[in-house]
Amino acid sequence: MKIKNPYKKEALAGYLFAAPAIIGFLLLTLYPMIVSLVYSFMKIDAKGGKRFIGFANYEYMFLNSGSEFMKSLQVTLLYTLLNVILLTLFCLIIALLLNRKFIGRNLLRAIFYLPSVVPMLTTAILWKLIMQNQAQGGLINQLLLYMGMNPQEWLMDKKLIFVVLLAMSLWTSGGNTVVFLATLQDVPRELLEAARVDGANAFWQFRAVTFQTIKPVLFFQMIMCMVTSIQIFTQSVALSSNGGPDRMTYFINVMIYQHSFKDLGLRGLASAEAWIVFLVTMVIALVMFTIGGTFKKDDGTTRKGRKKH
Amino acid sequence: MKRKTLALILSLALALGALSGCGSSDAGQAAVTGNSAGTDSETPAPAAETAQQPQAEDGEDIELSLLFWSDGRQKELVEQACRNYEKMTGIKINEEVLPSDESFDTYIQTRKESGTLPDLSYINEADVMKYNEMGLLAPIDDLFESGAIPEKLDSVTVKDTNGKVVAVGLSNQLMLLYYNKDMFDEAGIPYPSTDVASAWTWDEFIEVCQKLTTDVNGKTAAQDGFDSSKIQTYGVGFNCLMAFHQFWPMYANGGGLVSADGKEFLWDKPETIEGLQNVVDLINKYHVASPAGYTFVSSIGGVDAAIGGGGYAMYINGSWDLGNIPNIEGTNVGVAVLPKMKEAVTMNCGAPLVVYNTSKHLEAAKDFYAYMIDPANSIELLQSGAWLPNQADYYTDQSLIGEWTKDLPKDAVETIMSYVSHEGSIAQWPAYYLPPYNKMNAEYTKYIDQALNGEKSVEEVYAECMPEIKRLYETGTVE
Repeated sequence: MKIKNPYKKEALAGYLFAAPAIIGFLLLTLYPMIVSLVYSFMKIDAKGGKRFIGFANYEYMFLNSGSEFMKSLQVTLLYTLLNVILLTLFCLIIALLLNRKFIGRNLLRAIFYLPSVVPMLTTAILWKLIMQNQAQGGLINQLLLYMGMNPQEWLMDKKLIFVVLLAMSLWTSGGNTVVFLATLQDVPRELLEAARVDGANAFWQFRAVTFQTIKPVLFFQMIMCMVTSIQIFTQSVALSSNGGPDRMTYFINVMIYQHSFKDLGLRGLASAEAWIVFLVTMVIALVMFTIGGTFKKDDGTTRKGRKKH
Repeated sequence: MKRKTLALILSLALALGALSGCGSSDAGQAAVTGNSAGTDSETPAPAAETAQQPQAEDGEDIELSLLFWSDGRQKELVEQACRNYEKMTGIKINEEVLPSDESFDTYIQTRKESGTLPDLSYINEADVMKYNEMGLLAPIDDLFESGAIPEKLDSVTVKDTNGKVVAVGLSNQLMLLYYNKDMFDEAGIPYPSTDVASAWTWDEFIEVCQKLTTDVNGKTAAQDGFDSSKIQTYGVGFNCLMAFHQFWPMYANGGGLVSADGKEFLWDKPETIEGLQNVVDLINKYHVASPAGYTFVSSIGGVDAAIGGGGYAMYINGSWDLGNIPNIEGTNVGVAVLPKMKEAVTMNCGAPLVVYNTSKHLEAAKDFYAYMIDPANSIELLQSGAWLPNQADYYTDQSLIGEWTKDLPKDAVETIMSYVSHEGSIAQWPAYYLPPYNKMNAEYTKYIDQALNGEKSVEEVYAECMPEIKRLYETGTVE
């Protein structure tokens, strides 16, 4: 008895301490999720009247010719794919460069981190000013014109708009770079040293030592990047507000927002869409985890690799 | 032991803190389900509860809330108008301002969900029919019948499908042609007319645009050897080609979205298609206008950016831009009527003010409404050029005209008066009176950029989207 009691008390105290987080999760995350799942089987009209319509929302999404779900999902996934690859490579390369010893290294590190402090809305407005038409004073286009090249419609062309979006994404990727930098500090110097002694060139040092060490973090960063890329919203809204040009920025969250809050009577559909996106994200994450897992079979050497499941 | 007690107390306090937080959100939820009349959270007003009748005789107990948007100066003016009204009537006004962007409608929706709609609010043109169909707007016919509101311009009066007036635009806005006088002088081209009757024909307009579009080598689009891929200055710019920015040429060409009474669908008519194609040709065929889409992504902004920046010789945008002309230094800006196609037509807009029928003091709210939409109380906005008056006598009564136009450019005043005095030269933006407008527009948005970027012809795009848009039109409802 005397032994058990303190345990119980301690457990109680623990639960009470965790209570705010648990209650927050239940009320602000789990409850809305369940409600949206219920809503996804409902038709919710303008006045808030609800009635069950079974799977009709889901049917509409995939089968109705007027549904934009697939197009929206396509542009979102395309952006996600490009962004994950580019961002990971870019941040890794920048981190590797910033990890070398040179004068002004700390200043450069700060400079690379700086843009990620700027809110996305401001970033988007800034980039819009940079990329706009030369007659409107767009910097890039005026520069192109000055150099005798043809200015481009960065904002109106449905391919080039992705260049703008990706440029914005890379510009604000300082946070990821910092994480990579921190991880690179973890690379065991003795291993690098040993590799050098064994005659490994820079590429093989990276391939055999550095890469192996940072792989778990790399993998984690890719998953997080994937999730945030699928949720892209602010950039699109700040640039065009309706998915222009030619629906190329009509990303999935923009569509869900449009259906839920701007259109009338589509809140049920919006909930269904949100759930499908949730599932899609989960599937992609699972696939990535699987790939990450197979990565790790030969991974007995790294410290972090073992900790990851 | 003592430490554990302390831990317990602390954790309890934390948990309770969290719970009380939830408690208030529960109360909010109760308001959603139980209370549609709306106890305004901003004005918890014990006074409002004690005053049993909305029209308390002395008026002391009544509080009204007004939700509006503003970009700066307007905020002070609206607040001033509210204070004046408080002095006049003793009614307390709680005004709340939001930025004028997309968030406004979402915010009203949130307030609706939580049962705390304001008494009055600004509203987007395209959302009036939506809130009306949701059953939230109070008709204001009686204010017109009693003479509390004098005759307003038809083009800013919003009626529901039964002909009841549900809103009046705070201002009247027209699409106008702004131009850089210096560039016209330099090219030796006479200024465009301020008279609807002698507006440029479309061919004349194209010709002028060509003469004023120059590439990096200084060649104009009218000359041989013009390099359309290296344009330095465009003949004309559209702020964007969205909604009324795009619709006026359809009306100018004898087409349109729907007939003025909303009974006939015109959007798929050949005149409409040709009207829009004419504009698209300026961009993709003649290369005299910068690319523009059915989106704000590349919108130019104000006339100060377009003409003041020197990138455009002419600029087509709404009359609110008159307020930006004084910001332009070193360039002479002129204002003229839009070029015509078959007819000279411009399109109007102007955000309305509405009264919500959830108001606790509906009568008082309506009185305040009449006050707020009286141009006399927004005279500074009128004088700055940001607003045009919404009231008929402000265009006919010489002393009134003199007062609000005294600081405006002469050619701008002439242009506005010319539009107002020529019957049929102002097409009302169908967003005002066409309940299914929003969903038709949403469908249209999916397709139209392909025509604007020259990938397909307007006719091809319309062939794809118009059957569905017509079907949406025929539903006749917002939802």
